[in-house]
Amino acid sequence: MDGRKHYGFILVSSLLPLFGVVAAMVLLWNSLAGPSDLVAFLVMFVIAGLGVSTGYHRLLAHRSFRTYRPIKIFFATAGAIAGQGPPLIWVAHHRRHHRVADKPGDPHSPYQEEQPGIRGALKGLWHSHLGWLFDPGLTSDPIRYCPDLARDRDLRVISRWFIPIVLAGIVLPGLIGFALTGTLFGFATGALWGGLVRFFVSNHITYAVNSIGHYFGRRRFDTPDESRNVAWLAIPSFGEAWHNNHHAFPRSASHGMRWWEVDVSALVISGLKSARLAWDVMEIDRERQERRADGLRKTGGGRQGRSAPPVPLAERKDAVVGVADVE
Amino acid sequence: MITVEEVTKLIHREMRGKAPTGIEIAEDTKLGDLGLSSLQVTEIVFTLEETHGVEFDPARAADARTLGDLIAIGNEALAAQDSA
Ligand SMILES: [Zn+2]
Ligand SMILES: [Zn+2]
Repeated sequence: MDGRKHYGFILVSSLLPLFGVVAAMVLLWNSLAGPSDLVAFLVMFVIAGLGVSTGYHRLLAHRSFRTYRPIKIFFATAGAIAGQGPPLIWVAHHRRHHRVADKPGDPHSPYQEEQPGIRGALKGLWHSHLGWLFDPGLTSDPIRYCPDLARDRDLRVISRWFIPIVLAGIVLPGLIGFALTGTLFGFATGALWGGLVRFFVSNHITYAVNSIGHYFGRRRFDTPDESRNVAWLAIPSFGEAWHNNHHAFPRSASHGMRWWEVDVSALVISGLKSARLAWDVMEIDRERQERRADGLRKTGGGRQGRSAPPVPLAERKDAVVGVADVE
Repeated sequence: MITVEEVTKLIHREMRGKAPTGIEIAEDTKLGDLGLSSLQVTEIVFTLEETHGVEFDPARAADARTLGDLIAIGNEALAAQDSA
């Protein structure tokens, strides 16, 4: 999706859930929310959250582990339900983000067109949070950034059916509500909480990893970008908020790197591994972490830091796009 | 061999029957003028790969500007495959 259809989708998908939240608050105020709504919300929140984190991000964009086809299809579909875009487009933007993080060409850096003062900072944060999606020039070509995934027909089919899948993700919690209450009102409020409210909450958590996760928090690794570990976002983001760790080791299946760095998505992957449903899980031991941290300390990090290669191979005319380069 | 007709058919499929108005699809048609999204072009390229059992060079396919460019990249890969 690009052009007008893209713009329309972004507009509807950011405003409608907001109205949904207002409506849900009004109902809540009038004590018209019940346990079935909570169940619908939680079930869908987990599906969408794992879909984006375990599926889109770790399995597809970074190939942190491998799994069977039905599980891949499940996670990719769950990721589509979250409504952040078709898998091929999401991954293309995301791989580009990693290649040029916080430098020109990054689709969602809070430091783009940096302006001084608090207003400039807020503008940058807004851009990285949601504003970037409204950029009419926004495009990351899947042929360039994820030919490996585009060769997978399942992912092309899911990408093509993206909007119906998003809509199914609103009907499904309605069915949960109906099953639990047996009333049409239960269906409607289930769809409201598990569909629109969940859509709003879980997407703003992902967006916060892009905005806050490049602005406020601690840095363990002096990566050549501004990525941060944001502890308070760790649980709701299913582990995605250990974002500085992630930029230091993009392929690592676990973004949490200490026992206290809770990473639900990593737990899911290791659970799949123990059940022999996942293999080739990327694990980075403590020694490699220390070596990387020492190395980066010497070269110096931050958005002025030098990244290697200076221009992503994927954007150089003379280089063949290797999958190794874009992940 | 990948032909213009074959690609034209795929373009129409992507546009769900809504033919690009006022554009005659030919070799020199610019991909950008067809109003296809990057996802739709991706679908076309990788469907061609699948039906012909060949791999396009992704960097070159991403740089292709016209329909003819794209077809040439595919046919070159096919030729290389045949001679190998
Ligand atoms: Zn980042
Ligand atoms: Zn990533």
